[in-house]
Amino acid sequence: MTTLLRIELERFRCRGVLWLVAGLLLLTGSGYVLMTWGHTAPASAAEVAAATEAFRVDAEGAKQFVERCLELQATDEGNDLDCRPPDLPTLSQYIPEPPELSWELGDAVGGMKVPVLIAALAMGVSFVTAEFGARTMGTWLTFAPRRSRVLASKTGAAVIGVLPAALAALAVTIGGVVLVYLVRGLDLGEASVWTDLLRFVTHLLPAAAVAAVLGAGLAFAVRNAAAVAGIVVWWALAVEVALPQIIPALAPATLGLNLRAWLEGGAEYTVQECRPDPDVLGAQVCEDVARTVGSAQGGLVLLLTAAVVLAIGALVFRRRAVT
Amino acid sequence: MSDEPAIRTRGLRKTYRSFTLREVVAVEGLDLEVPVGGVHAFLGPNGAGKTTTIRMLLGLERPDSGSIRVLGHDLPGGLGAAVAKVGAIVEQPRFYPAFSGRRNLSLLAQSVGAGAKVDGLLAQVGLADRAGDRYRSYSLGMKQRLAVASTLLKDPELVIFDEPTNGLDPAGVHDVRTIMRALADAGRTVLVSSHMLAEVEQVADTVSIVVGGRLVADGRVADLIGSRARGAVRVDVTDPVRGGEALERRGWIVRRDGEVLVVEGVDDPVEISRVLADAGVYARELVAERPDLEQVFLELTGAQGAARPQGVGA
Ligand SMILES: Nc1ncnc2c1ncn2[C@@H]1O[C@H](COP(=O)(O)OP(=O)(O)OP(=O)(O)O)[C@@H](O)[C@H]1O
Ligand SMILES: [Mg+2]
Repeated sequence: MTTLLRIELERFRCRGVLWLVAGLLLLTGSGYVLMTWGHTAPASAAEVAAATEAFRVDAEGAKQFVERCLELQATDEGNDLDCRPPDLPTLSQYIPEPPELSWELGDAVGGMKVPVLIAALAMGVSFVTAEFGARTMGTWLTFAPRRSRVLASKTGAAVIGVLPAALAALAVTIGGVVLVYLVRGLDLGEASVWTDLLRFVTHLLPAAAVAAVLGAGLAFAVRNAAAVAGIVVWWALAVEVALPQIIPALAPATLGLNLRAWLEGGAEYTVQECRPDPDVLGAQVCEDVARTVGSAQGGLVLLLTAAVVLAIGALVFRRRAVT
Repeated sequence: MSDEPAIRTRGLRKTYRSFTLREVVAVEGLDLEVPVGGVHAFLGPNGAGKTTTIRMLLGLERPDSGSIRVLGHDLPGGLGAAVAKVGAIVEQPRFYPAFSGRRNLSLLAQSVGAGAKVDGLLAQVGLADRAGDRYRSYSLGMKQRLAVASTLLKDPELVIFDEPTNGLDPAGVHDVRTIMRALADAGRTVLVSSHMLAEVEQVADTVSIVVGGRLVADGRVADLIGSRARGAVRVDVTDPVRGGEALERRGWIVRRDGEVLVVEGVDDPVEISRVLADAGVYARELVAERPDLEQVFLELTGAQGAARPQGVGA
């Protein structure tokens, strides 16, 4: 079994398409770093000039207000006026400030969520369908005839292979954003930034592993990348988008909600609760009620989904002839 | 070694269903027996069920019914133990197009602890120079050579070749024949399915012929040729038309090959001279053709009409 896993890992390492996906993921992370670079740029000369002008206008306005007030105070009607000048902001408050690190990191890492999961899914699918597409599975089965082991080692290799790619992309994103703050000489903020970040990353990586298992399971079940893509798109439209709109109570069945719950420590959805109106016979009163899916429940649903799909894949793989 | 055959199937049956639910019987109650040691040819016309049978022997396909025993192991339970001693090419060589020949072979080799053999085998099949190139860039024959190398990784007791010489040049055909012969001489069993009957006849010791998924003949190649085929006789006559008519009246099958008559079903060539002489036609030359595997094959598979020109004066 470890031999098979080692061989599958070598196959994974040598597949160019998988490196391409990993590269695209890194590119996405770098994009977020570049955006942070833009957000944290010091104010330009034009911005400073505009801020100075705004400050001057406001200060001038305040001065005129005081002068006018004092004039009125001198008359009879205005002798109870308070003519202290209003609190004026300082010039620095007129110049746009760079966002806080926690804000930027949240944006960047949060934005990497979907790309990381899609990449993990795609890598899991491609790693397995390549074997069927090139029809090399038959050859492989004459060397490793136990199909359950072939499935286990391939799925295992997909998971192990996907994790470094996801980790590298997240490291580049986080490291890059922090580096931008260091280079700009900006404040890194409070320590709680890091605990939040750690929580998110330690939840995203297992989710990526589950996505890889899901991909491998789908690929073992239908053997064709285009067919898998079709199923994924159908699921996304029919179940993830349409179903909760038609039957809101079924929202917890969607992977999107469970994923959000798992990653963000819980997620809310609303259902309508109706009961007979005590005042009007035959009528109902309804109200929107918010419900939550907990983080653990979300994680469990994701895990179970991947397990079921993999089990279906295993069943099909064991029973169906390999050409 | 016991006298248990290397492969034994009993009542093996496999059907496929088409989209319209029409049933295609690929293998129908096949009793295949391949003795240990030697080259065993597995012959049959296109669609006879050879590849399907081989795929079932390797566990790539499940039989509908029937039993399979390979190297003393009952399938499907003993598949792992059996396949560990079998090297096989099924239908076409299949490897990762983007990996080099060496990497493809090495990945397979690692699974059976034969990593050290890779370079030697690549040299043996004449691929040493191109081993670093992508498999995709190989010619058909080079792919076939790589597949042959892959079957030898396990030090197999049984080697199954499904059309191994498809696409090979004469040197490649010769090499594969040499490899098969060497394996057989070393006490291994080779099961080879091929349509190159002259090639097969040179190398095979025993043969099974299937038609429509059923076994129609098996045994030693020499016995089969000796018993089944009465050789044809080629006669060069002064008047082919009249001569042919006379011979046909006698009940023999006669066809024309240019000015020469080929007569089949003759027990003793002397008879031909007599019939011709009675008709006033004279033979310039009379040559008994050596019966061969092709003739036996065509006779058994009933393909004469389709495959050969027929009729006098055609
Ligand atoms: N996967 C399949 N689905 C449906 N029918 C199949 C399948 N595989 C084989 N068949 C049918 O089974 C029969 C036997 O095919 P098989 O490939 O075993 O023949 P073969 O003896 O190897 O022929 P050839 O000499 O052309 O290689 C054919 O009628 C074929 O159409
Ligand atoms: Mg075939």
